[in-house]
Amino acid sequence: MHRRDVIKPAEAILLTVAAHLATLSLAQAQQEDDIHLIDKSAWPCAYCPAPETGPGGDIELSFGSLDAALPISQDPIRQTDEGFAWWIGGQYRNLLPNGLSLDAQGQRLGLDNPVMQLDVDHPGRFDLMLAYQRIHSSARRPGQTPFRHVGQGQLELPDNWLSAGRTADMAQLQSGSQAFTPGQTFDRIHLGTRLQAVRHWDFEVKLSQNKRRGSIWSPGSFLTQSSFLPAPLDEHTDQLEVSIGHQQAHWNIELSYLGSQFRNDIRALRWQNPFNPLRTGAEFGQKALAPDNQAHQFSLAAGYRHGRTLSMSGALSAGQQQQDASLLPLTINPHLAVDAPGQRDAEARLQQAMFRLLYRPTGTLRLKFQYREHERDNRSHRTPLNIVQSDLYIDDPRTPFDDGRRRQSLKLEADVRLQGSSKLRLGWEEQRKQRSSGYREETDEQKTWLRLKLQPQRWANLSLQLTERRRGGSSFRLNPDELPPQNPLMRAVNLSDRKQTDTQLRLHLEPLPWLQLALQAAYQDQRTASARLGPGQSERLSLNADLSIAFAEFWQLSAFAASHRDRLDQTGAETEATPHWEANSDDRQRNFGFSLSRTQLWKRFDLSLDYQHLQGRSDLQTRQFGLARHFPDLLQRWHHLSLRGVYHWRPRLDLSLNYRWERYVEDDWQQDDLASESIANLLGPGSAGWNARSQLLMASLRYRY
Amino acid sequence: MRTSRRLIRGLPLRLLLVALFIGSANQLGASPDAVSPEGDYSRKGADTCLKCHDQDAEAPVLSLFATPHGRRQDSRAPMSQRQCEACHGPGEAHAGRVRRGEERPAMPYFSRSGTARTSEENQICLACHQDGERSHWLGSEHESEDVGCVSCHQVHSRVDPMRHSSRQNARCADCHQDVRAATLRPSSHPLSSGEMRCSDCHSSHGAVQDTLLRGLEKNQACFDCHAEKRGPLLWPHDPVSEDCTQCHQAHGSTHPAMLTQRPPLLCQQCHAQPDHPSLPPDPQSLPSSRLSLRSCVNCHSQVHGSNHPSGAALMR
Repeated sequence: MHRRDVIKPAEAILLTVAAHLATLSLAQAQQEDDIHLIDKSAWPCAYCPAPETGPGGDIELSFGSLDAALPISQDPIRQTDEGFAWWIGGQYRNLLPNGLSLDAQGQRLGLDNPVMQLDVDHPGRFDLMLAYQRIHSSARRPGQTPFRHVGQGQLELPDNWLSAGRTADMAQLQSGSQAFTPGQTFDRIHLGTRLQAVRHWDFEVKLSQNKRRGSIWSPGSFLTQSSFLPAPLDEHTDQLEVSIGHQQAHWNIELSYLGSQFRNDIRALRWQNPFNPLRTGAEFGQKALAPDNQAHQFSLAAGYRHGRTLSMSGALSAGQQQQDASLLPLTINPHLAVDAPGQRDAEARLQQAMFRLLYRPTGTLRLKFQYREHERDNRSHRTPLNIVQSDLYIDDPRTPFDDGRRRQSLKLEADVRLQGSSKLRLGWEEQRKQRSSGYREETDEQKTWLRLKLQPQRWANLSLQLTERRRGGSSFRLNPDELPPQNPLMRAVNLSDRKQTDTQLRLHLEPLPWLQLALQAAYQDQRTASARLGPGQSERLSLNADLSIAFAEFWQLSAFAASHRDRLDQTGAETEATPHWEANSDDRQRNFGFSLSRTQLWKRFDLSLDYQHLQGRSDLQTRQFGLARHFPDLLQRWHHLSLRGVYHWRPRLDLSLNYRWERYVEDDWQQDDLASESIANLLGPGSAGWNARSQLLMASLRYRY
Repeated sequence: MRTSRRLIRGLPLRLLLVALFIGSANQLGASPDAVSPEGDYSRKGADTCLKCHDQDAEAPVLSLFATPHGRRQDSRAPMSQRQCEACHGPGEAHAGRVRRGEERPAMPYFSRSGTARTSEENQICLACHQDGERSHWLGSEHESEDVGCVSCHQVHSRVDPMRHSSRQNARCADCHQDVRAATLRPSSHPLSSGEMRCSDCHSSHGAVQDTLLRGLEKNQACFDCHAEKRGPLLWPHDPVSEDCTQCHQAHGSTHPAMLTQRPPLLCQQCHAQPDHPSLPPDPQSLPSSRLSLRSCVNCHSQVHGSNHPSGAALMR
């Protein structure tokens, strides 16, 4: 095929497209001329209300009594300490005559989860946002620990501690333990400002700082013996985003930088071994906590619109993640002589690119082309390292794993508008992944989809989605005769051929202004082929229904119901190739909730009642050599009831009363009724069954000014 | 010589192509004035509309004047341009006299009984708001599904409900009902309480990533709060650096730590090598360090990777 055989037809096509666009542009230019003829001097806006300048807002004072904190609760007030508390909230707004506006708000000030935000906006010049938030959470189950110096990097046992080979033989375990419930606070401060002083230009700066403090359970082990350790948390993340953008009528461009620095003030956790050491010198162990790291990224994003027919957008970015923390010693066991590991900086370089093209040749057809690429290049030092297993013995050298990868995806889609608001979307995507892991492992996944949206009536919307994914192309095949040195099966099983189908049906009805009904059903089926080990078939079924009725003046009822089920069949083998056991898991959840409200009762009262319920159940069965064994069921039940009444005492004064009741019950075979010494080689946190109840009664006084 | 003659002969055509393309680009645009339907504008602008749409109207609109859209002294605001008709389109037909028995014509855009397409209405908003993350709006999932700007945003409201956590999450849940159900599960991000918003992780206006996740890299939204998992680490755990959702259900799960499945089965989906990783879960061995509490993670506690030089087995 000669070049002229391609160039001439291509030129003809381009000429046709350009002529088409030119015709449209001429028509639009004429239209613009017509618009500019409008005489707006006759539009004085005399009826337009003047903006309300001056201060305004509200302040709310609340008192509450909480009989028991409930960490599982979705309500932040329920997660705070129990007892009597008071807190305030409110909002302050001020619009100045020059157009500058201030908006300050606060919620739950005085409790463990306060929120504050300040917005300053000068239209056409700048806007500024300053926000602070604290998220407080604690462990769901209280526990206990014999370790001292909780909150520090070195944990020690009581002075009279006698080590033992089993937890049941640790004589001081019960007497020497103290109550410990891990908890953490997450403080977030965010400052953002946007300058728009120059027309068509935006300059934006965002600064944020996250601080996480508290403690968590973190196990520490000596190969076959392990202890739950009360590990400290003292982490900070500082993030800076700067962007500058320019917009015109038909194109825009933005250049941005993102920098993030993570700092951990506690780099290691050392603990005293409560067990008899398995080797001489293993009286203490040390594990590394998350090291300081940083990330930088530059990106360029642009968009271009050629009328309503053609649009393009794209993004390019390059960045790197670095970590150069000095390494801990290979072991703290003084009886093992090993060289220092030396400095090993870790670095990964990331590159991303995305290009999207939309072309609308007719009023009813739109074509989309999208290409995306992501590459992670692991530049870390990867020479073999002599390691010490669990401070016990020197093991064979290991080479750090290369987690580099490349992902490319090409997507084509056609969007056809049918009658009215109905439309049909057909698409195809190919995604190729390459992983660098000693050998290159490549997979191809093809995805096809159909989405049909119908609007048979103005008040009825129906949509159907069918998607199929097929992954193949992997060169992985099980080799029963080979004993892999570093377990390539770790990754290989997850790269086997796979087929996944998704079906989703959605119906939305609004036959009357006061009645809405939404139904959704989704089903997913996934089957893994070419691998006889690991996940085989999985199914997921999700059903949802929402109802909203304003069945009388001032009455509103809304309700929802949801059902979700996940089933998974999985096989395993103690040798490489032939599965000899099978596990079947079945997770089910059901949600139900409703909300009933009556407003303006006797023109003074607003009343509301809310109830939500969750029921979860997980079944697990294993089959080995034809013999089935059932695990105890995992059961979860949660009830939440809220009653609220608001009395409009004065035009600016409201009094509200709120009662909330919550109950959570969990039967979990993995955690229930496990004392610290229940497992011989695992010093646990001590965990009884969990059945919690919580009540909150609160009163609020709200004044508007 | 023959090549250069061929080039010269083809030159006018090529120049014509370029000129047509650039010329049409300069003419076609998305400025507010360019996106306008046919029809006549009212004689008095907003004063025509506000005669009926006043403080006693069924659909309150006057709150607009307390928002940036209603600031007449700001030359960028619609109310300083063609006022109500800057967004709603020419209103002469709607405001004019209607014969008895006939229905009043709807406003061209953003009208309950109007016939304008969602994409046309969105273009009006995008005429001014085509910046930042909205660069990727066209062709995004929401845009392809005909989600309108006004499906979520309320321009005539003093405070857009999308700026309020609980109301934003509730609005997203109107379509994403399964996600709402997931956020109510025992182990979840604090979305139901309003302490987090959907927009903390997702960019509903368009994004490079699938599922409209923020950031250019898949895990970037997670690393904004969980930077301790970012590394890079001396001994990484491959699924962590590739995709957090291989093990976690970010919207909520009945399993601790928002896991998709509990260990040991979760770990055994990849780890099928000989010895203890491949032992079948056996209820008759309960309680057991291999099954109870955190199962595999009882010993391999550095499941997100380790920076300890002896951390190859993710125990140190």
